[in-house]
Amino acid sequence: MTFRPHLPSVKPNSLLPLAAIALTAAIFVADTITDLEIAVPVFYTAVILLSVRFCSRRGLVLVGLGCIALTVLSDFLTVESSASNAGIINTIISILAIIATTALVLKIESAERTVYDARAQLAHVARVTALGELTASIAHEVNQPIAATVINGNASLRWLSADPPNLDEARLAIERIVKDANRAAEIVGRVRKLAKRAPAQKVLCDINSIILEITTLTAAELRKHHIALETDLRAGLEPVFADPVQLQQVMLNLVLNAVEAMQDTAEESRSLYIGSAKDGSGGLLVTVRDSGAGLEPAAVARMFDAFYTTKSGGMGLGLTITRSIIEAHGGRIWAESSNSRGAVFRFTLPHAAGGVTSPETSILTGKA
Amino acid sequence: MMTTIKPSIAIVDDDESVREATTGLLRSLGYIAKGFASADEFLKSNRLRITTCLIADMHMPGTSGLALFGQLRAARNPIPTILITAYPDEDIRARALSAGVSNYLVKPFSEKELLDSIATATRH
Repeated sequence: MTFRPHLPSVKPNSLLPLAAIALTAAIFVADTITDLEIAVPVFYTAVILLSVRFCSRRGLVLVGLGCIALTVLSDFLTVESSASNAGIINTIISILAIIATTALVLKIESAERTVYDARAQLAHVARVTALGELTASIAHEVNQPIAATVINGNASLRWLSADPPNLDEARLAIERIVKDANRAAEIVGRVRKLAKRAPAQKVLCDINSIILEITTLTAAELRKHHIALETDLRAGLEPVFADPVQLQQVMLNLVLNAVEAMQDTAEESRSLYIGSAKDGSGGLLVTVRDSGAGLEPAAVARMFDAFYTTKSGGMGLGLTITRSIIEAHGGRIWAESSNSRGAVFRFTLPHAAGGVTSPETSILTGKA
Repeated sequence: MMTTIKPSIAIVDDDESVREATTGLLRSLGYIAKGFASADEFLKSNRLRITTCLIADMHMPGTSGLALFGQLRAARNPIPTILITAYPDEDIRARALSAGVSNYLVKPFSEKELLDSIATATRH
């Protein structure tokens, strides 16, 4: 069972519309030069099936209507105008076939969109649940700059009411207030972005900034659990074409998974390593390694399955969703036991140069 | 009536904002205050001998505020200590106070709470 909280990926191909036009022309010519008793227009259904790959819903209806119009036009142009009953029936059959194909294709598309919406909703619920686990430490993260603001406010009042007032010191304290207020706002903004339910949107992203967003967001959580964080983010990596919120969800899931895995580890030996690098095939490789108890061989095989969980309160969807997001981005994710201690999760992502689709042009994106 | 020698206070907190703010406030009140980002940084500094009051965060990577207090006591240098925390915990509070920590403050604390605690800690 897989969940794909993402846009089904449609490989872009600028040749498809040309192929559809060529096919239409060929069918039209064949239909016009053959007599009416051969139901050539039935082949227009192939044009409709081809158009699904690049047309919007409305576009598809227009293609269907166009095919019907061409069918009727051929009938008038057909040289041998023996308007037999068979010919008329064949034309009607062709038109019905075109209508039925168009209707079915539209219906399948709308079913796919429903599934896509449900998956996106599930991913959103999972994301909010993951954020829920962080509530205490996020509250702490916001509390620190607020505490500092209270103290700095008191200090600036003291400097101002001194005799003579120490304006330089007061200014420094007020500058710190501004800095802390911005810091608190940034944390709130970061949480809001992850909690928001927005349609998937692929843009060029820098994987290192995505990793840093999540390590910043989870810094207090890691500190609370006495986990030392080590990052090794390679500079100058190729950008990836991805949905940044979904990739953040992947990183958040992997970090929370690591925190959970180290619960029974002695405090002084809890460490989390996150690294980014180029992989062999020119894409990206991200590594997340914890120093927990490691993985049972049976767990390695099953841990990405839906509803497989070793946690008492877990639903077992976090890693399933993580995998489906990575696969939707054309990558791969796998787990292994570390040589020394703990578990290693790695995922790859292809770099942006490999085929970029424009979501507006495909009916499969649900954006038509 | 102001005393002639103001206590020298060390603030150990890994959070830069809280550390700088607290240091600034205490200086505005005429204290000699110096901030340290970790217990280690404080222990290695030349302030160790002259510090009359220590304000330390409970949750820090490496040595916690309570552990720092324990180390100082074991080294027979029991600097009066105020623990500050953003994760209030009754058990830790009880443990800290019975270990001899002067006070346990929850962030965000008021100026008055801080000053009263410093006054109590440095009275002896």
